[in-house]
Amino acid sequence: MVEEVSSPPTTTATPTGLFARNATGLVRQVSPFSAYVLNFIGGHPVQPLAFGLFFAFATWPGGNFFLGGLLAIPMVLAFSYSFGLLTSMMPRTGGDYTLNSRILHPTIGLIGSFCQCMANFMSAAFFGRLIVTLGLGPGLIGIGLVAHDQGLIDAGNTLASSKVWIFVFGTLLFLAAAGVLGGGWGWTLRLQNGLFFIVTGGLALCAIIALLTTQSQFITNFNNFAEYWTKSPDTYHQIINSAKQNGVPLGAGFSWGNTIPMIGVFATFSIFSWFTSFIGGEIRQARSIKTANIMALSGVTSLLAILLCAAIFLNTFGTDFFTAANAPNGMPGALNTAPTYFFLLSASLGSVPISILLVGLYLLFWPMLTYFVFLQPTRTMFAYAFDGILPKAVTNISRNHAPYVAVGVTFVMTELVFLWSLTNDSIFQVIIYATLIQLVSMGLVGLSALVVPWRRPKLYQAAATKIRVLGVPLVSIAGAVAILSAAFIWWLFFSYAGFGLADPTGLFIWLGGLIVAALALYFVARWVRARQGVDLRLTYAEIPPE
Amino acid sequence: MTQATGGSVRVPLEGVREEALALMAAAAQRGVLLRALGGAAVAIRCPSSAQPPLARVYKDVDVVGTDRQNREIQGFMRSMGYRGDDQFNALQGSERLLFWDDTHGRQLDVFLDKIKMCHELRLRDRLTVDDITLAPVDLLLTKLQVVQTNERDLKDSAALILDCEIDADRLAKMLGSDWGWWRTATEVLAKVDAYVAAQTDFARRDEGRANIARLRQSIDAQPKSIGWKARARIGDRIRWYELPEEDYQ
Repeated sequence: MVEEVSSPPTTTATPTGLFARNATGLVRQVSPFSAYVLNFIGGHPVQPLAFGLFFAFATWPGGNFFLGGLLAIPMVLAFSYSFGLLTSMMPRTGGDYTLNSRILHPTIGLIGSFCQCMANFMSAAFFGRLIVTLGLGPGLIGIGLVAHDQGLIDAGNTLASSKVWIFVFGTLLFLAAAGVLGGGWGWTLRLQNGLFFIVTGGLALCAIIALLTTQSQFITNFNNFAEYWTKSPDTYHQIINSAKQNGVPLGAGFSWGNTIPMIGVFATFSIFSWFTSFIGGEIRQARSIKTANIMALSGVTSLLAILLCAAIFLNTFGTDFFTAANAPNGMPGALNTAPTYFFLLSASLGSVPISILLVGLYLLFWPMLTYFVFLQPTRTMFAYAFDGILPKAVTNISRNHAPYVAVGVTFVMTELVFLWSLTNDSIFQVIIYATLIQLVSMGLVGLSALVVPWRRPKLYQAAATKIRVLGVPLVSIAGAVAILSAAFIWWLFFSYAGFGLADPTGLFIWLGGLIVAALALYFVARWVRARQGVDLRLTYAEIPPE
Repeated sequence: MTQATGGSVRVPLEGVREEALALMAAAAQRGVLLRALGGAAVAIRCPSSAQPPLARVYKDVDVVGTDRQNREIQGFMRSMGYRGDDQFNALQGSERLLFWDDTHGRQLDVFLDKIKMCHELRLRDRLTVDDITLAPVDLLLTKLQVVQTNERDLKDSAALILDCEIDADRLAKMLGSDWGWWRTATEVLAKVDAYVAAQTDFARRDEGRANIARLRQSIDAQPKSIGWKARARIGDRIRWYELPEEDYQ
């Protein structure tokens, strides 16, 4: 019952076999593969596998990890097709801002995009902390443990506990992310794709090492490694027994109630595969359904890659051991580092060079991820400026095509949020706020998708692909599911303490502030432009030119 | 008429060929490296393009320059009475610039360092080969890379092959290193041949067909690269070209 109506291509064949072409054509710079990579980065398996996923085993015992992952797929698809189908109707710069401002209302577009920008500033700030606290610090400690080098261990501990060092390395991370955006698309895509191959290659290497290591070999190797530090011949089982004594439920039977939050755990990593929406005017053949399909493919493949790698690591390390090690204070004091997959594999191999290699490959993930979140504010600022909401100077580019004003503003805003985050003792509070604030914007895009056939019928009718399922536009179905998904994840965070939302009031203060700031910008800009003889409402009545 | 003087705003000329010549002359005077391409360049290069059956209406001016002079080109075009498309140039400006001649409702595309359409033609080192326009072989390559050929492409290609000395060595080397390029260009060349053959009243029909045959012989005689041979084994099963979008303006 799926029907598809395709509009005629813009270039048509004449009866003589020749084509009627009206203008010199343009091949946009971002290829389908680069678009796939960009959308994949937000849910790249390295992040959840290294630190974001396995706490859930101890937090929600009996929750089925794999079922949770599979049940998150409809959410991934809903957000991908909401953003993707709308972007294919309106392939412009600005993502949610451009879509919501044209389909719903300019103020909604601004409120959503303010949420989106702040979520990405917060995410970048979070990454600025994590690159030290879950990257450099544990990395050095891990290498030190393998190399029996107390100096490296001390250096790792100093880094991870020092706010000065966190600030320094976080700032360097932001500079690196800005550097990725510091050229034309040729430069950016070369770096983006290069980092993607290196980081993904590092993960693949770890998966292969794990596949070639049986669980019994791992236990023997890990115990041999750990004995030097713990003085125990069986640290592996000691970690499991300690966890049991501390009340960590191991080997719990299946629990549907605890599987539900597992869906949310996956969703927080895998529902962000639509970032090419922000560069809709720069991706190749963006008017086709390929735009949405690439987003969906990125989201689903990243999620399946997480599940596959998780299965491999759990098989090698043992579920009980991995659950115990990832529980609070799960690692013995003598092995005071994060039980990441690459640390455990390095420990198992007992090789310092491999340990350095795996840590190095893992660390390259952070500039790639931070570039990903830096891209959105720069393109949203471009779209603001194109609409006259911000001064045109925001779109200034340098001689080497760096959007230096927009990137500069993004860097400064991230630094400010980063400084604020350093005053917050719970670093996870920052990313929880970011996730929930971003979901507001994503839900609004869902609303745009739901109503576009009726709010903008000409836009919908002109779309290259209009798929209906049982007579209902696919874009509306995707929109409805996206709204429900956003609401569901909000509900999870407010219902399950394990997600760590400690201060809901603070969240609402942030949200209220963003709404007020967005409305203020709109009305001030409208007033300023009116004095210049420009009616901003007319700007928003039109689809922005390419 | 070619210079903006005394604060007066220059108005682009009505004739596309004349405007292209004026732009190239002014650019040369100001040290901006630009070369014409497209229909206007064919009109400048080829006398036969002024006569039937190869005459056609020229719609706009296309030029190619270097990204190194991106800012200078933008300033130059503004001084010549063109309005830059700020949004397009901000987003696509590392490879392409777009300007408008509002008086005549024409657009002007500036390609930077390369022409990336169905295939990619790198031109950074080719801009100084000839004056005013790209070298004839490069002009021909810009026509031969078009998969969805129209009659204008065929006329322009025929005019170039008839009136200009085509560097067959460069053409053959280009197509001998890239199977995709070869696949498209040889097909378009066959279309040009068929088009010329169909012009039964055209006095230079046989000369044109002979020139095309010579070019084809050069292409066939060129040793092919390993990459060319590897790609040839896959053949048409995988698309070998990009399809440019027209409606970006």
